[in-house]
Amino acid sequence: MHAKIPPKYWEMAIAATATATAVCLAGIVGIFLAQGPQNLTILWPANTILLVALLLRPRREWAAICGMSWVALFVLAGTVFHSSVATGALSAVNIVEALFGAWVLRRKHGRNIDITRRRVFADVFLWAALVACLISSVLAAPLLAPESADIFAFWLSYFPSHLLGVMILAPLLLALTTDRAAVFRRRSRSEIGLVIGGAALASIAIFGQSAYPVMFLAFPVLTFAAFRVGMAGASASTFVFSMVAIWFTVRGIGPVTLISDVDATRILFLQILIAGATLSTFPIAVAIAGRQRVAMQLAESEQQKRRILAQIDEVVFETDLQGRWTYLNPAWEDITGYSREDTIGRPWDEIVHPEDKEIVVDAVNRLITSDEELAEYNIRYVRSEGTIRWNASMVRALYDEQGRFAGVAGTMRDDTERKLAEEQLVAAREAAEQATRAKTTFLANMSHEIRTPMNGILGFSELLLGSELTGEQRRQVQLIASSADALLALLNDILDISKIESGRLDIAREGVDIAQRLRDCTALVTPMAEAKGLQVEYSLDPEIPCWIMGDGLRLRQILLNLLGNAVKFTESGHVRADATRREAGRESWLDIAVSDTGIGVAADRQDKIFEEFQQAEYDTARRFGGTGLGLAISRRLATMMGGTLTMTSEIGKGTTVTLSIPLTAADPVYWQEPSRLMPKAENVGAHVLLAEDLDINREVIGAMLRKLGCSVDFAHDGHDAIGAVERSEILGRPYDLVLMDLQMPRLGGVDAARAIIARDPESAPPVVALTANIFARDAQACRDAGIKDILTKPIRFDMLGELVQKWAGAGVDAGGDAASTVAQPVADMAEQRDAAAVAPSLEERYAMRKRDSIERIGALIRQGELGEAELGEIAALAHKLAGSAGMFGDADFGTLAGDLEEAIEAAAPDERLERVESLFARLSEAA
Amino acid sequence: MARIVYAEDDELIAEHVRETLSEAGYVVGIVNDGISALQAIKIKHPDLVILDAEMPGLPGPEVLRKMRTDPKLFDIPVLMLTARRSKGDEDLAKYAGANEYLRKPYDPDQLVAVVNSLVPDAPKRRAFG
Repeated sequence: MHAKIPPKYWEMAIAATATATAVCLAGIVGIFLAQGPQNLTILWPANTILLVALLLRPRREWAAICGMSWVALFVLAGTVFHSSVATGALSAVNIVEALFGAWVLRRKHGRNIDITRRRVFADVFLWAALVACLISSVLAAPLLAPESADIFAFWLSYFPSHLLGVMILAPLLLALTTDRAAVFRRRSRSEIGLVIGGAALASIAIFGQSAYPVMFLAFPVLTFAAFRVGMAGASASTFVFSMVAIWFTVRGIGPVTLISDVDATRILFLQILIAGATLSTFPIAVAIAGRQRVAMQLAESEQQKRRILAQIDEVVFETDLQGRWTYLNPAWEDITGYSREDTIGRPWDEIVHPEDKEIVVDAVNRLITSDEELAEYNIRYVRSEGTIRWNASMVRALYDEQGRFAGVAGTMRDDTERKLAEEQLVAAREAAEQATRAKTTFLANMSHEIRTPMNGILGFSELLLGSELTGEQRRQVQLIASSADALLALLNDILDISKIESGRLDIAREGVDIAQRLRDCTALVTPMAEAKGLQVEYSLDPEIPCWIMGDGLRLRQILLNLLGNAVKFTESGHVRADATRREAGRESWLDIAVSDTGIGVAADRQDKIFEEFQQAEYDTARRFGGTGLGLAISRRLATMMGGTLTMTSEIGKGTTVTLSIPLTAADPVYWQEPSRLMPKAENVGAHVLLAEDLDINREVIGAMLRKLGCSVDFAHDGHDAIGAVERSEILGRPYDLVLMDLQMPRLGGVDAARAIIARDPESAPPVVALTANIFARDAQACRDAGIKDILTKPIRFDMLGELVQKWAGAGVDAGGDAASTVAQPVADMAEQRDAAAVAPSLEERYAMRKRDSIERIGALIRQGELGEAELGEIAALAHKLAGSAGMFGDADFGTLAGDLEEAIEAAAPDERLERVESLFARLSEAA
Repeated sequence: MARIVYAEDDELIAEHVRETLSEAGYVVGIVNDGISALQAIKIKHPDLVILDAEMPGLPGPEVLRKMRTDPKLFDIPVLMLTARRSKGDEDLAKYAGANEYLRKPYDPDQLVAVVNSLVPDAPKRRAFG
């Protein structure tokens, strides 16, 4: 049983044995080449065999190889020398020589010893040949020539032979063993054979005769071999040449014998000759190998470039200075349909669409004249079969070595698909925009068309309500008016949603008197709330600036919607609007919370009701009416203002909807006197011009104006209006106000207004526009023309009154119809559509207050069970009476009312009721 | 013509006073609560301010306090109207710096006399003459 030996030990054993055998054979050849009594060797090849073997094998095998080779050399030397010590030492010196050379080369170049590289070649000759042989010869001389007189002679025979051995054999063996591919690359074996054969024949011709000293002829032969077949040829030829020269010279034949009869001299001469041949041949071979290597790398990179250019599907091109194609890659043929061979040398513009040539010329000019490095353009080009397609190109300028412009290089790809898609997109967008424009125009027209008849319905019902009517008639007219109102509200909602969705709704940024808005809005819903027995209250945080930036109309719209909902869905309790200021980081917010004590909204429906056409419950519309658009619009408006609209609610407890918008203080705009509270005492009618093309509108608005105490002239279109203004000035009775419909035949309102104001900007009467068109651009056009205000149709009597008051500064005379309102039952007062239209005198209003208050207090007392709420209400009513009675010559009554108030506030609880009742009895008596 | 801002939440009283003062040759702007009053005063810079002590939002003394701490408004004379029964309002009016105060209900002639005394130099003309 023996242990299994790993394969690497087998390899090591084989390598060592083979090397030893080769060294032995080479040694025999060396001895065979020895001459004369001193055994002078011309060439010692054994060490070179060992050197190459060491270079080829891994370092771990070196010990084994050297050991076996030492044994081989020892045996071999034993046949020559008699001293075993000298034999052993000499063998060791040989081993050292090879080992040193191998060690240096392995250190410097690793395992890849490419003899065709200049550095490797130089190191082989310097270290492995020159230095190693010097070392071994210096070591060997004292060993083999103990007599000091012989030492130099011995050295002279030892050193050159070892040196030549390495110089001739090492390149040959290394070339054959280390990188055969490099050696034989692109050289046919037969050529190598021919060259070596030729060198052999030439060598025989030179050394096979003893008549002529033509050794120098060897040089051209060997040089030729080096040129033709590189390192392999050079080393093989040199080897053959050396062998032939030695062979003949050793036999006493050849031109060397002509030089001297002394063997040593002949040998030395021969050695010098061989060394000279080697030194003149190998550098050429190395140089040529280096050149070939560079050429091959170039060829390789050229091929790589070609492969890449062939693969990419963009055209890569170059042109010369005249714009003629100098290079095109294969993609050219796919993209243009032309062959490359036909195109090269032709001008660039042959394939470019004639209309786009300018683009290319411009791009190239930019490249040359500016410091842009890259120009890009999209142009049309014409394919070989005549179709026109788009391409996207990028070009760079090319410069020659002197830095002069030499042409352009660039890429070009087909861009037709993208271009078509883009064109389709543009067409689609234009179609969509066209459709939106059509929709908007339609909406504008529809709004005008609907508002005009609505104007008639609302206007005449308001006028009717101001006239003598029976109770039944009044109720019916009120129904007509409220139906028209509802229809108008619905129309406005739908128009708003459409405008928001088509992006046509603009949010204004102007100064808004927020307190005024809040007060107006709560005042507007108060009659409806009071009819249901609800209280409406509001509060305003003093920290909120009076004027804020915002869209007053839209704020009002939101607030009215929220308050309206609150009132609508609340059966008892109160409705509140609380405006507070909130700081969030560096931003201020205005929060307006509208809360009620109504039916509430279930949590899962709270988000739904902000969507269009959604209400809290499916039967809400049936129970409460409405379109379900209000909250959706409000939230969209809030969002457009940069704010939010949020809801908290509990079923049965109530709902709070909070509008939050960014708070920015604004400069005050103007102070509008609350005209409704200030009917003019003087009965001075304003002189008003009404320009309006529609008969029904002229009649309605005219009647309203007359009712306001104004004298009215009419114009049918813009030209008429201008003429009327001129006439009025000539007659010395200029207008205080011009009301101008915007849509009139011949000359529209905006142009007419501009003309009127342009006549004399200082003294021109204020122009107010009447329009059913509520688009923001109209408002802008009006402002630009100098129009002071815009009144939206349908024209409401109260708004018209305010407007005349504001701009004409003139009397609004409630006038002759006042009597009819006095006849109305008190209960109707709360539903009065327009207080100003039928404004009773102050005394009458005081009388009504007195009557109402007494009635209400009486009702509360008769109801019995006076709780805190009831007492509070009585106190408030009494307070109001006490405050006002004295001023209407009713001081005693006022004192009584004051006593009643005080009794509630101050009297002890047990006697309070009694006192209230007795005071009330006196009060009603006094009334 | 002298201009007056009058803050009063009772419309009836407000209009009555306005009529009275208009006949006496003043221009009267009426506001219904304290906040509007303050803003109207800032914009109009009237010759006299009449404040009702009890108002929603911002009560009269509060408006007055703000006026007296505002360098642009502090020198405008102020007449405060107080309720008959609340003695406290009168103290507040004095502390807040009212030039005069009147108790409700007041005699119109007395009102005109007080206003005339507070706006001595203003030429008396018809409001919309």
